[in-house]
Amino acid sequence: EQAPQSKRTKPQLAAQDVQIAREAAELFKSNIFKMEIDELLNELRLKESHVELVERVLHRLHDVIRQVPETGDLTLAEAEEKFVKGKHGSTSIPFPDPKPSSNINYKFKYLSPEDISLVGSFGLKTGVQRPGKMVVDVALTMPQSLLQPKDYLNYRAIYKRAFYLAHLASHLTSLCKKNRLPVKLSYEFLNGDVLCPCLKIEPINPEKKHEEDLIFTRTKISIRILVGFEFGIFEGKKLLPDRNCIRVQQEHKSEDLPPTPLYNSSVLTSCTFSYYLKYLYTNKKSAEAFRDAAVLGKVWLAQHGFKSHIQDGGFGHFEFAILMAALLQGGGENGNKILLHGFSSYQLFKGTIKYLATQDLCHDGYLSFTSLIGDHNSIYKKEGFNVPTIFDKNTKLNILWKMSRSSYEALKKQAQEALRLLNDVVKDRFRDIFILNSTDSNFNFDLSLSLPVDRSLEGTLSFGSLEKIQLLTFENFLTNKIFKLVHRALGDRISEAVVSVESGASASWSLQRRKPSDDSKTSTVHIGLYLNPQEADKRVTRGPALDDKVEGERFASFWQSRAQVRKFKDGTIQYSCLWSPPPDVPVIVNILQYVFQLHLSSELSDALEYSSKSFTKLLPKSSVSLPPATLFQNLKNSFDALAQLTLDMDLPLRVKSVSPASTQLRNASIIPAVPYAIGNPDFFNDVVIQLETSVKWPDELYALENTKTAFLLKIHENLQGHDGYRSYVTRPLDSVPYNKAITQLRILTPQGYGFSFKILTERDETLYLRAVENGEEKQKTELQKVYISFQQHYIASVKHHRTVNRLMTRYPALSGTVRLFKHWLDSQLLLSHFSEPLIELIALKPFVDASPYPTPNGPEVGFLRILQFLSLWNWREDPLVLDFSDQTEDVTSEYSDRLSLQTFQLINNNFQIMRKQDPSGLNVQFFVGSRDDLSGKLWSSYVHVAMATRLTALSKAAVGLLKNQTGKLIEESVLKLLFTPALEDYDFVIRVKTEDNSTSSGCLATTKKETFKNLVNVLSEFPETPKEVESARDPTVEYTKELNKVYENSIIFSSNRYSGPNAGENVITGLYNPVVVQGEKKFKVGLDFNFKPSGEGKVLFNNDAVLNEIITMGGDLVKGFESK
Amino acid sequence: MSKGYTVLPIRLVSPPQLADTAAVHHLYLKRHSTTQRDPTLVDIANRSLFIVNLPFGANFESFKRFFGEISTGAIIEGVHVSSPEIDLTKLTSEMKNNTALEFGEKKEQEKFILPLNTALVTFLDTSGVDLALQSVRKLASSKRLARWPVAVSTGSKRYSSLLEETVLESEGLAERVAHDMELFAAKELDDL
Repeated sequence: EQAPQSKRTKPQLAAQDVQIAREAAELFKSNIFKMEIDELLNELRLKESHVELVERVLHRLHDVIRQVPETGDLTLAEAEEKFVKGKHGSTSIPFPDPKPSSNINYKFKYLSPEDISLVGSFGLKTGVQRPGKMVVDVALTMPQSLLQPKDYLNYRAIYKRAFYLAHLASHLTSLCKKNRLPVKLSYEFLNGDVLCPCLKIEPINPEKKHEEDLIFTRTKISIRILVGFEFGIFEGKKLLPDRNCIRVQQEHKSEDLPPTPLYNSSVLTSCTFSYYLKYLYTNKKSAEAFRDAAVLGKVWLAQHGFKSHIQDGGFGHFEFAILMAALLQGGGENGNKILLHGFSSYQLFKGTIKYLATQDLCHDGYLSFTSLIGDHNSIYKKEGFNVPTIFDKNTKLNILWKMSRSSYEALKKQAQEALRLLNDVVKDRFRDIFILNSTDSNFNFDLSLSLPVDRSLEGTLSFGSLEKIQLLTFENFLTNKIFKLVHRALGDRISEAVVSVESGASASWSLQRRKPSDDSKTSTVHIGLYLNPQEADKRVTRGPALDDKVEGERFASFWQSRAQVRKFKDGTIQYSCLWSPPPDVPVIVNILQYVFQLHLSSELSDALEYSSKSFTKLLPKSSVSLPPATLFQNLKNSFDALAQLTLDMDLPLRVKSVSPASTQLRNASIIPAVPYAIGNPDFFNDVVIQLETSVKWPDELYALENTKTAFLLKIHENLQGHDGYRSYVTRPLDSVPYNKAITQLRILTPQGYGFSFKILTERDETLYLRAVENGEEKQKTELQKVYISFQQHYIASVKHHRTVNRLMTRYPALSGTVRLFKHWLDSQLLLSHFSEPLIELIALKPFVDASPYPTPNGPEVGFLRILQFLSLWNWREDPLVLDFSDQTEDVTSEYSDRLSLQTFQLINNNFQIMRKQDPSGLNVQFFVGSRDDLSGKLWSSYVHVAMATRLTALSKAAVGLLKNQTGKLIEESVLKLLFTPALEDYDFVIRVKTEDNSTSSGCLATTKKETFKNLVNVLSEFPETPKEVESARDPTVEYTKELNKVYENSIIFSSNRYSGPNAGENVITGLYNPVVVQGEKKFKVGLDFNFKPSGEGKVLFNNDAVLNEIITMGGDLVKGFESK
Repeated sequence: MSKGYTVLPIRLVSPPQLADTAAVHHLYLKRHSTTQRDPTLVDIANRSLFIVNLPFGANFESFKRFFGEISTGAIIEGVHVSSPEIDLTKLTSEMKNNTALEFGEKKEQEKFILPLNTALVTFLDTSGVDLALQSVRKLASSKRLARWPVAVSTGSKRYSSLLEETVLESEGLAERVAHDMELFAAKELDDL
């Protein structure tokens, strides 16, 4: 009875403890967070002098507006005539499409505005300094007498406003000049709303300056004049989102006209410019931290690419502030308050983010509130309208009207990510939330596609008059249509799709034109996909079961000829589609091509471009036409068979474990595991054997190694009896320094794979530690190196392998990412300078800690994020701490193996201690701590600081190059440039030509155009002798290694580790260590560089002799030499 | 002359890839002296030249050819080139007589611990050293440059044989391992 009870109570107690610890941590974190927030807000504050200057400008502008003359009633013809030739050139009336027809019976008129007021963030005093220009919004209210209550219909109010704006603009041009306000005027759509043109006023620096000129260019602030209607002038009910307000002729009169939500919302918005300012102002007054939280929201949104503009998601500072205000009045399902007035800015921000992340405002429900001041009637209502909705019962406006379903999903995803980060009790996530920018689609989506659409296709794609009144623009129509198609076609293959359409039109346009000019005639559809790795690559799309007639018909009509009925292994009979894309084309792309052809046009389908297209060309192709995953699996099978064989062997001591530590066996090698590819530097897979415990191991290192050799020879003997296995013992070239007695057993399997067995005993570590202890003081550093090397070769490598192998299963895109990253490093001649585990750990960063992005599910985006991370990593000041546990696990769970705050701090402390001893990072640059390595430097010790700096510099350059590609797919030429080494950065270059080992290394040469797949000899057997097997590798690698060893302190040599893809061509570059090669040194015995005499007792680096030696050493390998 | 060293410029053969540059290397030589008391070591020291700043391929063969060229009659017995070594046997064994076994057959010469980038060239007799030093000094003061012979393999041959030589013949290896283990066992017994 007792036992189960205690079992039950124990976890509860633990959970409680964790909760307390968590609260403490959260409090601690929010304190730090608060300091960081204060600092940020301070930094963002607008300059006082700028604000004062702009206020003077606004006053003058106010006076100027008041001087604009009024007009009488004008017919359309008169109104248009009036502007054909004004005093200062012509002005066009910015009528939206469709232009008013000539038979309209109402008049146009300008009367001085009823009200001029500051609105927007400047009015609310939440304006902040951001890169780019800040805009101050001034709202003018048209006098009530100019409008009729029915003017909300059929663009009437919109047209009248267009005239009003044109009249204002034409007079402001001359009046501003006269009043010494040097500015440039142009039209612009307010937040991309094509029904609402506004006037953009930018400061200029006139050529002839007058002393009274009010020049405000240095403020980088521009002014926008919005023309609005009196609040309440139109009956709100008539403009509800489900009402039609544009009456068009249609064929069947009996049918109801469709609702015109965008039009209605645009009209309503124009009635509420200053009304909402008052509403927000009241909220700001009532909650102390409202302003700061609004600024935080603005910053967060901007870093993730959200603004009020339709093209930027339609959710910006204004929408965030309104949501926050609504949540201060309630917002819960029972109207309970989500935010409290006493909350800090952090709490207000977090509460709002949480609401966005967890409450569905599109399908499941919506937020209903009222902007009536003093009315606390804000409630989450179930059952949404399938459009993002925050509904103001007072104004009848859906605040989220500018959002598409696509942009809403994107926002929700970002909010979920932000919430996760805000809840992180271990790491400080301030930077991830507010500082890092994640707006670049190339770094953001797993797969990006782009589709140029000619606007002449409007008809083909059935963008008719009814669609026009509903969606207003072809771009909105396309966004909608393609979003639906993509969702329908890809289903759960994607976790989310973001569709946006970019028209070629400019943002602002000259007063002489009615609408923005657009020469391109093409709109580009951008599709950004987040993939679901479990489903994305499946070859079958499963539909409804055969007996579901209704759904079956829907399925068949969508997929048409592709739809078929199939019986699956589990016996179910389902509608389904089968996909067999050409090699290198992702299934998803194949599906979209098909669907676009079917439901859009074949022309469009052909024009579909996608991001991974040029990437897939980059990785070396294996000479065997099997996908990498299959090759890796074949190798694993071969290993498993050998491991079993070894475990079953009859040896003096039983084999306890056979543990791999090899890049190929963890799917992380550049060239996939091609059988018989003995020229591949990764061909032999390291395996560490452990035998059962024994007290008989010799108590001295060489004797111990000899005993191990004897065991390896026993395994060798045992293998002789097994068909197809061959083996021999070698002395490894890269192993623990000074331990010359180490041997390894090379095994060639019947499947064509190679393994290197070495033995680890329980005595090894003791003996190496003993050596460190017994060594003389001057040997200590070297002996520590020996110990670390032992750890790397025998213990840590196995642990690392296990970790990475496990993560490869969790993150399907990891393998491709690591391979791409290694390939990039090698193409930049950097790969050989870093240990493979270090490279893999860095590559893991964007997976285990993806913020500010979601986890990458494509190798390309994974690779780009590594570059971005490296370009931003200030390794002198920041450690990299990786948590390999499942991030979705609840940290409070007793069984969670997530990194605890204590471990995290321990690793951080280790970093601080290390940096205290080595502040500029000469010894260890990339500190990577994890549960596997608390010291953080196991894999990054002894890297040349010059190479570490070079890696940072190269990734910065690469990211810089990619930033120029923002908003479009990365061009192939740019990508190629990324993978071309900058040889001019080195002091000299040795051109090396070795035998073409592309065949023996198992890959197709990428540089030789004439390589045809059928001409490559597929390898099917091993050479006769072990010596032939061993010497099949590229000798350049050993040459470079020797050079680096001989000239350790004076020159750093780099070369490609994989010359296979380059058809045997390789280069070795040299970079001098300026400390050694420049200037005179005092002569003494033991100088570790080649020198020549220079004056009494002085010497100089003897460059000529050194170069001579280098080339002599390379002999026939060297084909050319170039130096600066 | 620096600190008693004779500086001898020598000509390096220009590889064809660097045809237009003639490189000169500088050897720093002096008679070896030792603080060791062991008469054998003192004898070796007296017959040796200490050479600083070694050119590529500095080994017995190249020094033999070099001195054969510049100083006929000065016959070389051995060359000991410095190499960074740490005796892990010594550091890991707790036995009294704990020098390495397998690599324990040390030449007397190797008992001299040499700094980086130096070598000890030992001649058959003291007159060999005198002769060699004399020739070196004469050459150093003349305008003639002696040629440095490279007596090691280079290029692809060098690196493919480096790779090939990692292969150990299993039979020979088995015998040697067995032998070493016997020795070790005997020594262990001895130590008890």
